[in-house]
Amino acid sequence: MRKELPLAITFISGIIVVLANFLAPTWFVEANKEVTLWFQITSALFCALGVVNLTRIHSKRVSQQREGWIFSALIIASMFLFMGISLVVGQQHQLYKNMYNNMNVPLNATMYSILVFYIASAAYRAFRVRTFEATILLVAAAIVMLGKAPIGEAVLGSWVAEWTTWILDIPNTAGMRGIQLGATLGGIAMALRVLIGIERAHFGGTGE
Amino acid sequence: MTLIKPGLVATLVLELAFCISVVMLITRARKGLKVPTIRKVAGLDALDEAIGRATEMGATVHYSPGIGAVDNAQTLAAMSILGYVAKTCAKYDTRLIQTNRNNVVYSIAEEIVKQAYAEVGKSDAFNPDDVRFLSEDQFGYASGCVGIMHREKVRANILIGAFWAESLIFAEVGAQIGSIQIAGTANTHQIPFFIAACDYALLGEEIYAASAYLTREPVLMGCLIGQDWGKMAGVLLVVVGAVMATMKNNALRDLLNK
Amino acid sequence: MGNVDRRIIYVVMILVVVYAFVKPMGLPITISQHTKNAYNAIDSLPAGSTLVIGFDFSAGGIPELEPAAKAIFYQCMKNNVKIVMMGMWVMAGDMAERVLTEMEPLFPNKTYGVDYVNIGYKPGNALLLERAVDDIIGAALDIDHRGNKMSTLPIFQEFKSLKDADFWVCLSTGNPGVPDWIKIVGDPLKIPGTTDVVSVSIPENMPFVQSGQLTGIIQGMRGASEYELLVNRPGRAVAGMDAQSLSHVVILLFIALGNISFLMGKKKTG
Repeated sequence: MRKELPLAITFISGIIVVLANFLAPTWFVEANKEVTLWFQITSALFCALGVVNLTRIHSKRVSQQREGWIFSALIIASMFLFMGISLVVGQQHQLYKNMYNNMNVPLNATMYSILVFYIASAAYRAFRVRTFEATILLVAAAIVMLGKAPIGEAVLGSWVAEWTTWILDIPNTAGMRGIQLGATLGGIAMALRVLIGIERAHFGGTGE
Repeated sequence: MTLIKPGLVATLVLELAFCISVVMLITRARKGLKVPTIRKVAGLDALDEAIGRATEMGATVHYSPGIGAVDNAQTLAAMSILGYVAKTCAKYDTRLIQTNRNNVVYSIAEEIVKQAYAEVGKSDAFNPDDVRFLSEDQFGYASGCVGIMHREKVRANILIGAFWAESLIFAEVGAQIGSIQIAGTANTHQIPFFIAACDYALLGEEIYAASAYLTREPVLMGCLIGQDWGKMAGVLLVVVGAVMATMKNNALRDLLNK
Repeated sequence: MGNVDRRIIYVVMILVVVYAFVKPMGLPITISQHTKNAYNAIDSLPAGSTLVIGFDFSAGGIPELEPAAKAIFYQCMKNNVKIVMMGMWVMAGDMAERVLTEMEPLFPNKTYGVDYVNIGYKPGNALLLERAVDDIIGAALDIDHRGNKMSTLPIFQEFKSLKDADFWVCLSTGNPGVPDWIKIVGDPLKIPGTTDVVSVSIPENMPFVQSGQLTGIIQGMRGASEYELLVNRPGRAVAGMDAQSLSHVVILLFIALGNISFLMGKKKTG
């Protein structure tokens, strides 16, 4: 029963969600809404797990004064401070908004901005004309990079923008369609394997 | 009252046909009949090499299943590969740090890693602190992973699952610290970054083939072949449709829009 | 030459980007057809129409998506098109408020709750859109991002669900995003829409443009700068184009350097 019950729940709820995309009867659509609502409720419960895990790991580091324990203390303090403030004053309060806009948003933006450096160093390392295909890749990348930035047209002329549009509209779109088709079918097959119980890794085991 | 929503009949028929072809191949495999073999996937072959290298250096293996939720097929594929990686690390006494961005995925991952250690008879070696939930925030998770890669001497970096903008952060930092990196995602916008920065990249649906490829179980292989049949049928539809559209015949398009 | 320390690359990048902001070059920006298509589609909406904007991005998408959001808001307010702002991402409401903070003072004759509203983020991902197709007030739990009861706001007297939208715009950096809007709103309800996505997501959304499921596409910060020029309000995106130009040139120069060294080394070894 330990393995059969989760499999049965997976199959029944999965079938309802899949068929609700196609079937018109209202009762079926309502059943789907109910299933997805329960999914939202149960996944919200798991938020507590994350807090417990973070607290457990980092409080151990603090109590054992391991290297970098001060950062662990900072994580715990900031996590509970944010939680506490949002619970006490609410998310519409100016204090919460200030903390969010002046800490969370800039930190997010900073990490995203690091990508500009990483793209430069990754491109420098990776774009070498080792093979014919690599050369085509390099030429296409150069054209698109120049075409997307105003300096390309300003220095080289309008052909750069035209070729960029052609590369994005024709070979890129064709390639994207192929990869998306394959990936989507792969996803459907994966979902089918989970539904009929062949794929059981998420239960902590392996397949049949 | 119609049973099927208008405009979705053809889609439903095609999906059912696809599912039937997969189930047929699974049944064939269950009966012990021969199923076609699948080609080499370099990234999956390299998993053992990556773990072996980390073992030799006395270093750590880092595994990230991406930042998708548990309802994402890529995350499920990542979980099946995690089972294999965890078992191999347990067998060779190599430290595995598994990081998560999602709470539900974290709880599943912990169970998978614990089970993997138990299956090789090393339950005592399992350290629950090495399966970590870092942050629900995308870049909070990314910065946490980067910190772990630097501090914990990660020399094998396995990134398989649904990744978004943080993919290049992981891959580039891994490359900078000299890790061997195996990455895979079906998110087309991140594949180029993995190809540029990682040693091995699994493209698109190759990550879904992992459980079949690694275990070589006939049933899973049958499922994979059925999936390929579906893809070939899709290609055939595309070619026929393109030819018909070029000849200004919209019969196929109208049929698929029913 | 083939092994330049990455810290040198990073320093050069910083210097170049800072220089571009300190001494803008003002390079001309041509408008692409895809951006024109999106602009024209929104411009052709009659007065009194309702446009829905999905703020499906987080702080990382601000430089590329926020300028387009402001430009679209400006265009709609000028044309007396109402705007409903919502989103499937946690930061949706805050991202919309950032736009409103700058744009509200420009239109003192426009009123919140009458001409535009910020529903903000509501949980459920794509489920939010599915529910909003039937009942937007129910889907949003009858409370907008500013804490108002939505059923008391005049804009919702006529706008009851997404079926009442005349156009939609999805500003997206990932998932959930454009495919959900197309699947739930665009295709079934036959409501036209467009998107502004970060540059890295442009290739994967081009099939939707080609199939007509998207009316044009605003392509990252370049597209946002084009849109700012179309509404005659050059802003942050236009200002960022010089930095983008120089950073692209720097990357290409380093790639060229690496390849020259690679080819020279290949020649030496024979």
